[in-house]
Formats: sequence, structure tokens, C-alpha cells
Amino acid sequence: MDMLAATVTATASHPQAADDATLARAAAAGDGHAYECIYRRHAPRLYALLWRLCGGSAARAEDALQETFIQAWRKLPQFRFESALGTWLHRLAVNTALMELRASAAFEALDIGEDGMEVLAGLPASMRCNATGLDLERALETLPPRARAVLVLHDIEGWKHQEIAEELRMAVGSSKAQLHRARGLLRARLGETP
Amino acid sequence: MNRHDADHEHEHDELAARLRQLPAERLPPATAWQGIAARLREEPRLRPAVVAAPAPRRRRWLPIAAVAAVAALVLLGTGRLRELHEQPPAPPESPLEVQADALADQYRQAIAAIPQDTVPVELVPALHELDASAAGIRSAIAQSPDAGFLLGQLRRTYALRLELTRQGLAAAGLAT
Repeated sequence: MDMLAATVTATASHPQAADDATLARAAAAGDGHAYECIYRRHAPRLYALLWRLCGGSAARAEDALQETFIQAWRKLPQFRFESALGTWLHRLAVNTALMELRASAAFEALDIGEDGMEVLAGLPASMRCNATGLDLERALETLPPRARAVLVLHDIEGWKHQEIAEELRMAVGSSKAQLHRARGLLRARLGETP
Repeated sequence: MNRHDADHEHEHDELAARLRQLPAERLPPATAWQGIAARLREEPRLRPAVVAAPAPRRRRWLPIAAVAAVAALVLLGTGRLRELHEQPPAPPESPLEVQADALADQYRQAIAAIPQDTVPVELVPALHELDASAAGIRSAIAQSPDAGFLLGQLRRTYALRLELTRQGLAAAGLAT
């Protein structure tokens, strides 16, 4: 179903200004059109986050985005509206991406297809980034995964060290150390002096 | 998630400002929703948010236990109980395994349409490596049925295997 059709269907079966809570209740009851509206509304924000957490790997970011929305579909009936839907999805997306980060070390050797597909696709790397902040985005991609995750969550997403430490299962001090390291590496990659 | 804590020095430097100005949104590829929609179709129907309290466990199992006892007696009479003990039924597959099976079926159909006996010899080691990789990923899926990202790895591995085979045949001058 294309985006226009989805929008028409959702607004026909839901109030004109269908807010997140209305859509979430409909989706929790099994309404696929309402769920697609939720996806269209929140996916771009989550994809930007996942893209960065996955180090600019389009394939992994897409996998993580799909997994996030599959998990959300399963868990929506238990969603109690104690936080905004966007915040809940954001948490779910981070958890999904970091779960892959934690597990990928064990399966890294198996995933020989990704690089191969990228080579075969033959897409110029410059097509993968927006022009705005291009160098910074690329420099972010080169950071070690854990340091990058801490920097993205703290400096871009505004998380506290306590929250990051819980999510990444590390000490608060380690989160601060990783952030310091990530900033130093980032400045070095950008050719700046700390 | 409040922005920053005890980090005032970085708060005002240029790097921090540039990081905060990075685009907040990125349009995902259309295939992302298509993949989600396909997987949702395979999901069981959602239960309502408020479900009735389940009956006490003991009572719920009583009829099942009674049926099982009768069935066991019947099987004893026919001598099949021992046979069943020797060949326990396979555990049910996880949703991820079911999707991996579907993916493998699609791959097998696609690869069956390509004449394999003319694949260039120099490609064979790489193809074997990809086959081994696919088998490893399927094994990992069986062990980690919640690791959804493995499905993406399997899809990419099968796609690369097909593409390499096609390119090999094209290089050998054979149409696919």
C-alpha cells in the first residue's frame, strides 16, 4: 500500500487529527492501516537514529528499523500510555540496535554478505549521506561501535549517562569515559585539535 | 531523556553545536515498510489489550491430562508408545525460523532456475563459503530465535549467492 492510500484509509477510519494515542489503540486492536500511519509518522526519526547507531550501514539500519516495528506491533497491546508513543518507540529502537551491537560480535563472521552486496550495488558512498553535515556523519561512522553509541545517545539524542549506562550495561563512569574518547576521536577524524 | 547532565563545557563548544544540528530525520527505503508488512501478515492475530484471567492452571490441564491418559492407553495397546519415545516430536519452529524457511524456499526456487553445472571453477570456493555462511546463520537463528537481524543477514547472503552465480554465468557467456 502506498503512502497516500494509507493516509486516506487511516483518516477515513479515525478522527481527522488522529493523534498517536488514537492510532496506537487502533493498532493494538489489530488495525494495520493505523499501524502504517504510526510507521509513516515515526520511521524517519527512528531511521536517522538507527542509521547512526549502525555506523551508516543502510542494511543494518533497515533491519533494525524493521525489527523495531515488529517488536512494537507485538508489544502495543501492553503499551499503557505512560509515556508518549514516540518516546516508547525511540527506546525500543535503541534497544533493538544495541541488542544487535551486543550480539553482532558473535555473528560478525557470518555476515559476509553485507559488504559484498554493497560492492555489487556499486552505489557511490557520497549518495548515502545528506549534504548537510556530510563530513561529520562520515566521521561518526568511523568511530568504534560502543563509543559511537554513547556519543550519539548523549550528544545528539540528549540521553543522560545514567540512562546510557543502563542501556549499554556499563558503569556510569565507563559511559563518561567512552564519551570523552568518542569526542577526541571525532575531533581527530575531522582534523581538529582537541 | 533530558538533554545533557553536568557537561556544560561541551554544551557550548562548536562540535556539540554541529552534532545537535545534524538532520533529525532520514527517509527509510520503501522496502523497509514492505518487509514489515510482509512479516505482520505472518504474525498471529493480536489478542485484545484486556484479556480475561486464565483459568487456574490445574483445572485447565485436567481435561488435557485425561485425554493424554486415554491416548497413552490406546497407544500402549497398539505398541506405538515405545516408538514415540524413541522418536520424540520436533519442537515447534519459532516465527523467525519459519521466515528463514520461507526465505530458503524462495532462494532454492531461484537457484534451481540457474544451470549450476556451468558455474566457473574459480567461483566455486566463494559459493561454498556463502553456502556455509547461510547454514551458519540458519543454525544461529535456531539458537537465537529473537535475533531478528539474522534474517537480514540470511537474506543478504542468499542474494549475494544468487548474484555471484548469475555474474559468473554471464562472464562465461551464458544467459540466465
